[in-house]
Amino acid sequence: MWALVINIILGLWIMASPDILSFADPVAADNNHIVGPLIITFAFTALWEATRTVGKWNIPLGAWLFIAPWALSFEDKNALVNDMIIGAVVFLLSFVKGKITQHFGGGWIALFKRNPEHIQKTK
Amino acid sequence: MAIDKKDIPPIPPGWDYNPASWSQRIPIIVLAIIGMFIALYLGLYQLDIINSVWEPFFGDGSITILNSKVSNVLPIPDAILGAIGYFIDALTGVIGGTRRWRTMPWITIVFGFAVGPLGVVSIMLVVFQPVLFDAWCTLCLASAVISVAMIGPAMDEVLASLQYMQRVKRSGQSTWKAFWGIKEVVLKVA
Repeated sequence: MWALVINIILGLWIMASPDILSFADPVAADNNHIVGPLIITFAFTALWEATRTVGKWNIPLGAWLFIAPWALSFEDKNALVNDMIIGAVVFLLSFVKGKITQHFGGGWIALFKRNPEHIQKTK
Repeated sequence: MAIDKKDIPPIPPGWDYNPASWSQRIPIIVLAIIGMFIALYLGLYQLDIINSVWEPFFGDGSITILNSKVSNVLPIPDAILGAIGYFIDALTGVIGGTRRWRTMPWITIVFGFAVGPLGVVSIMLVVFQPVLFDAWCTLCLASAVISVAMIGPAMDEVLASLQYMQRVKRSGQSTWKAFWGIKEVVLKVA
């Protein structure tokens, strides 16, 4: 839960940082304007236990932020440092699953299982 | 096997709460209605029915965004389409009783499809604002926040319906009939 909240805040920061730090590099700004809203969306949706796995979708996004300065050859040093640090933190925090207290008949994965929890419960 | 729809346990098997209960659905419906009014307001501006729009933070941002090419790519302005989307969300949120994950899977699945893609479109529009037009629009962002907030709480009901459809399929009954909530199948499969 706390990891998701931090990722939401970091996503907001990624979205706002090109304007706050006045990135000189338009490619870096575009990249953050695209990735930021996605990080927020995935972390926010994962706040609900039934869709907790969506939080994992931020693992590749965090990794992308980490390598983007090199892949897109950022010229702005602020953008480079900013994205690498935040990217690494988002990447690591996306592995934190948090507590799941509710039961969902085996969850989404149940739909692909031979004998999922919800079918066992009806017998 | 249930004799009447009222005998169906409201909590799906293997769950510890009912995702179709009113306490689960009302917050989503309220969000959809708020989103609908915001979108309607923006749409009225796009239709030139009102001639200014509230923008506390980003100067000409809202005006730039709401008059952009992307927002007028379809015959009706995008905010009006958004309002229609929110209306469908609210309507499919209201229809059906607290056992609707089993008695009418079609409605929960339409509900899920209305909430999901609407959220995706909202995020796309948020991305377009700075990337294509170098501007932000406060109420457009507010609308996007609302549609994203609806995704998480709406999906559990979709999951309950899909699991039910899975049980119908395993039991050899018609998934088509179950999807539309035909009574004989709905009562037969737990």
